[in-house]
Amino acid sequence: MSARFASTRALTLAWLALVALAAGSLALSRVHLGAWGAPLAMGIAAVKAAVIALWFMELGRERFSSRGAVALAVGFVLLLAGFASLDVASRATPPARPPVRAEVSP
Amino acid sequence: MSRAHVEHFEDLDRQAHAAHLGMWVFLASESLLFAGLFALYAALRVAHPAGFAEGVAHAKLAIGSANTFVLLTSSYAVAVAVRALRTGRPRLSWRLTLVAVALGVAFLVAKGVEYGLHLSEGMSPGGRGAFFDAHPVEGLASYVTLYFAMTGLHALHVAVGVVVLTTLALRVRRGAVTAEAAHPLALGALYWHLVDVVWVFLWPMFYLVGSG
Repeated sequence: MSARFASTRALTLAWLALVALAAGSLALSRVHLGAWGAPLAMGIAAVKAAVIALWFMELGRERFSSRGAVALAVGFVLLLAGFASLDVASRATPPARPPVRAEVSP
Repeated sequence: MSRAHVEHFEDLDRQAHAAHLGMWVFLASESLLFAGLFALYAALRVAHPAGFAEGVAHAKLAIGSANTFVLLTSSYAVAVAVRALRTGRPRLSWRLTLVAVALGVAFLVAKGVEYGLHLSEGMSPGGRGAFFDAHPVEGLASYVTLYFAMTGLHALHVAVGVVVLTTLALRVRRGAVTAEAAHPLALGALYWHLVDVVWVFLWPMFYLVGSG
């Protein structure tokens, strides 16, 4: 029965990977990466989340129905956060209004 | 002590699967609860990058980072506890579950200290007071308010997880949750791991990105 589940060695390796990734995130945060800082940090966070989901939560061993529920939730989260950011980022800054000329009657 | 399945399931495997599916659907709904706040954070960060960078510069990086390692380790402890129970080692299982509980409590204590430090500086939700007068950066108030809202909601989940895991550790110790039907502990562990996953994203959002 135990063969169906992750071994203690696999769990320990997953934990070590998580610690290494967290240390990497911390080190990278001290380096000025400009516009790449946010996507890189969130990318590392996504890898850590995948490690937790696959090894600690054993998502890969779940049936299709459970994996489908997770995939749907992740998709909705990405859609919501992605489109909310795109909406704000793609809004054009309104041009300054020209000064109103006072009409002078002849 | 072996446990029979309840009568409306054909066998224990089907009962465990139904319980797992129910938990995954619950976790999906929990993710959507946080999704609204993640979307709000993303939109406000795009609109006010300077305010969020200023907020990150005032974050308690040491406490937030220590809490990250604490939660990752607690998740590991719970994962090994579930495996220990499944392989017939209940004593190790409930002890490791209590280790995770202790780490959860440590997380909450550190979070309380962190909130106290912020509030003593005047960095409070809403964006009013001397702190914000001294740092007149557009979007800083949004960062601070979101920081308290999102980490506060997460801390509430940690507190619930501490209660759930404590209850499960006691049930394993009493022999009410066994190797033959280990899914109650596995389900509690799933909830705890989700709490960890949420923090994995909150940490760079509020402590790391913008401080480089």
